[in-house]
Amino acid sequence: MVARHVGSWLGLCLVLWLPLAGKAVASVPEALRDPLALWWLDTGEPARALRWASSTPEGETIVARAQAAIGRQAEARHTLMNRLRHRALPETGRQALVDSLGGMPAVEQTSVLETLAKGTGVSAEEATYRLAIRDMADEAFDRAGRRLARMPDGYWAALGYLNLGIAYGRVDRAPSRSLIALRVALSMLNGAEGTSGAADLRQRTLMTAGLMALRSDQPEKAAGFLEQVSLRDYRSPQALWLHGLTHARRDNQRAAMQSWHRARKFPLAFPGAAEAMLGMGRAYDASGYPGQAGEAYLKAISAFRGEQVTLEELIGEVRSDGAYNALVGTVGGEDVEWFLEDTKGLARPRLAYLLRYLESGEHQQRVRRVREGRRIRQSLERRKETLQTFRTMLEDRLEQVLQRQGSDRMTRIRKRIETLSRRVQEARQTLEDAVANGRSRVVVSGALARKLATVERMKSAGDLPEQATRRIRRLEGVLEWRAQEQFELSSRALEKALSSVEQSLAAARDSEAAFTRRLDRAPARFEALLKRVNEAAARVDHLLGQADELVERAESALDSDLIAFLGDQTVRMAETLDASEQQIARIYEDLAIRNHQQNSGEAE
Amino acid sequence: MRLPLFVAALSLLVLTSSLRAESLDQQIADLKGDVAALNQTLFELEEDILHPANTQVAVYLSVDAGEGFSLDSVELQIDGRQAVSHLYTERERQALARGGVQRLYLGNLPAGEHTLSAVLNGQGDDSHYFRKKSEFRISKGSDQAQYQLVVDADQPGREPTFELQEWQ
Repeated sequence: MVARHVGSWLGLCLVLWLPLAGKAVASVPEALRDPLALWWLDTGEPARALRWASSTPEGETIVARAQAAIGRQAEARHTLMNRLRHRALPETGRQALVDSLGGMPAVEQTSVLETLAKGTGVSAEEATYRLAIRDMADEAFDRAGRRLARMPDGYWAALGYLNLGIAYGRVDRAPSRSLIALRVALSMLNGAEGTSGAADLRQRTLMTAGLMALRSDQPEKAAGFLEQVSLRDYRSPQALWLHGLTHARRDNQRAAMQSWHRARKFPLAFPGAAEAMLGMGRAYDASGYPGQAGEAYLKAISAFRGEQVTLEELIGEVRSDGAYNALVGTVGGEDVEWFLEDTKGLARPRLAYLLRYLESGEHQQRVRRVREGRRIRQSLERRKETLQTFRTMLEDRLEQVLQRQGSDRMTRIRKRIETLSRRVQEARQTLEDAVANGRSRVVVSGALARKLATVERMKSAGDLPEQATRRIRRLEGVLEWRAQEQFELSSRALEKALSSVEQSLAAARDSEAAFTRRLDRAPARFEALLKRVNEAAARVDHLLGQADELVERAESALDSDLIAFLGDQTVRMAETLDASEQQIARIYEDLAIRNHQQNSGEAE
Repeated sequence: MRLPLFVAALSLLVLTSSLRAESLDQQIADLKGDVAALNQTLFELEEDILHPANTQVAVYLSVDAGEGFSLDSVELQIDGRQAVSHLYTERERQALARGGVQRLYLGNLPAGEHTLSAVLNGQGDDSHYFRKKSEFRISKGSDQAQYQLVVDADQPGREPTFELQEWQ
């Protein structure tokens, strides 16, 4: 009976167990907080990392890295510098510190970079590189060179030497120092194949070296660099165009045309492709083939006109759908980095212009602003939906709890427990009386109790023969003797059974009371949760408003910028077209003069 | 006279445009920070609503492995029912290798005896693929229960194993 009763209210608990659970805030084992925060940080969820990181030195570093990741640079820098001062900043923290230096006064930046440069690892290399760049800006080239010379081979050293080569190029008339620096940059990359950015850096270095050698009239040297440029890169047409020039400088028009023929197969958006088209005409002309030169120019004119149409369509699309959609829609993904690494753009004119636009770090930043804003907005919209779900769920649960609080079912359960308690008390009283008065019949159980009950029934039946009555009395006497004999054993067994029932009932009463207390507290808890949900929803709405405004501004800036860029490309194409038309006009004029002279000669 | 004025106006235009762009970046950064702070609040709220502490069961996963071990996926069952399955990305594998601990599962479970089964799929240092299943009996009390599954793959030549640690 008691078990059935307990089962009944447990069933009620199960209906409500989830929201009624008392303790609100779960925790994470102290020893797992930092590793858990590290997981969130390394998997791209810095906000979650902030929640779990501990206040230990390791935890502080994780917090600072997470702050840096979500743009709270000043706070991140404060913690990281403090840890650096105590010489307890791991490499990951050092890298985060290098990344968070923007916006800091130059003198302090230099001091931090000097400290970091004394360490080891990638952070030390990047710090040294940044210091060298500062030296170059001050035209302290020797100091920059000494810094770079102390760096191990790899990406940062190579990037430093590339910049040193460019810096020498700005101040030197002769390219020797530049070319030496660029050769060192290339050698620094020899062991860095496969590392991020190394391949691109190699292409840039080769192109820079080729261009510098060509400008200083060293076509053979230039060709040596340019021949190493990959032909699966958007710089390929420019490399081919320059490579053709190295041949043209040496009066080898045929070889030049071979390079330019390959260069003009690339989309005209890329530097070098349009120049190669014009170059083909000039090379035929210089080789004494005006007819083929004319054909090459006509081909170029047709291509340039087609390109103008492509540009007009692209500008129209940007105006109607927005630059971001044009970029993302064309690329088929949201990742600018992926777009830059992809080589599909090398063969498609529209993609080529967008790729060209994204060459610039500033333009990439414009796209990132829109992407970041859109992502924030999307995440806020998802949060808003989740909060709406929570709100509905909590309101439903609150209503359920309020209904349960005054329900008959709970009252019935309480009454049942009281009834059972009374019955247990009565049973105990009976047992105690029986024990006190030695009434063995009351405490017997099992077969003996059944037999005594049968004897009692037979006695009460009456009208029995004398002999039967005597036998019954005898039997009763034997049974009572046996009952007396088992009295102590039976009373102890009954006492034990009664105690067990009392315990079960006490447990049921405690559980009912605990459940009632939780049920009583539930509305307040739900209301508190609802309040938190509503407050969070209000914050989400507020931030959504901000996100909308920022996305709109970022999109508008990107639209204007991309349209201006495409406008510049249209002007460039018009100028190239104009140059082709002038060339072809000149060729026709030459041919006409030549024909006229021939005809005059024949007439004479 | 007109040229300096024009230059000044141009400089002002460039400066304003730059400030405006910086301000947009700053505003996006501020918004990102606010959203991160909001997310912290929401994560707490979500856990309080969905996984109240005394019914909560959390299973964490960490990897103790040498080089060459690659965790592809983990499947977790509680009382024969699929609780979670996770396919690891390279980034996540690296996070585990750097000492990160993943909260593989967070849910609710009533007090009592339960069976927790975990299956790991991966690749060993000899490029050998394996699928390893382990089963554990757990006893959930009336309070929050937290367990850590440790993938032990630190012994070359031996298949990895799961170890279960209970946190009080």
